[in-house]
Amino acid sequence: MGADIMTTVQEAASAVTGPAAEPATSGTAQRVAVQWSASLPLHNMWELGPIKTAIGLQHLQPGWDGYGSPPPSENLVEGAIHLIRQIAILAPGGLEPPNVVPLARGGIQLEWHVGDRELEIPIFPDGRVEFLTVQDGEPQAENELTTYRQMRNLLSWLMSGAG
Amino acid sequence: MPPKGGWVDDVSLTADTVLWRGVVPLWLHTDPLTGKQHADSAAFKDGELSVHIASETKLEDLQGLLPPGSRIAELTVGDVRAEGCIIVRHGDPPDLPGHCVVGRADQPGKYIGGGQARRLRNKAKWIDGD
Repeated sequence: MGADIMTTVQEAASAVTGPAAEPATSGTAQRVAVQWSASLPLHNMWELGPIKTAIGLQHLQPGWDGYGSPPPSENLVEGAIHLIRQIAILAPGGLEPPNVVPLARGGIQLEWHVGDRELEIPIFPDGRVEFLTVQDGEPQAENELTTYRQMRNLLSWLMSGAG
Repeated sequence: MPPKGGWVDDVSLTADTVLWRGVVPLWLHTDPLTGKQHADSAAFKDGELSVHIASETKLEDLQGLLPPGSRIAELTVGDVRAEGCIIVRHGDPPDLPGHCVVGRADQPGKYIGGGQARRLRNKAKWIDGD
């Protein structure tokens, strides 16, 4: 689990949808995505809600935020799904699935709220992944998220706020 | 689109200038205990965060830009600058008059950081109350 999160997010996306240069709006790309989404094998039910939400974000209308933002690209959605599935494997027992929200300009953010602790993981259109920890409503630490070890530590920190 | 005149903080906008920010339903959460809505920090995380100078904006024009169920939050230029951001006018047609963009002072155009966005969200208030 020492793999680089950003690399695997990008690789997961291109392995499923083809080269990143392929226009996300092409009919072929859309068909591939729909086909893949329909046959997605789930590791567990934990993944289902966030994955469905992530797939739904791909179909947002351009300008969905009132300020001209595009929906997340197919590549980014596939990358987010890959990350959600990895987190599902790492997640400590009792962790609720994340809330999945769109970011302006085509990003996606995963969010958890456990007791007085919150964790935000934005995935930016260039594939970069960051994290922000929040306690009692105040930001604590933020940085680029690059390894699964970091991810595991963040999830442990989050869960220690439960109960 | 980056500001036409470049990323130069508009010092003519004083700290007490009130700004409005539209928040779409995808960025609204309802507290199950209080029933109150709060904005997701994602609503303030952008490379060019669109805001509107309240005194130069007709509320109905801004509401017309936003999907049904959206709300409008307000904060001040001072709040923005306290988070290490700058503000630039971006009000060319077809933009609304008073349209500005907020960006990071250290890396204009790059997404506003998670902590910055969260603190802006904490400072913002709904214009129509809780």
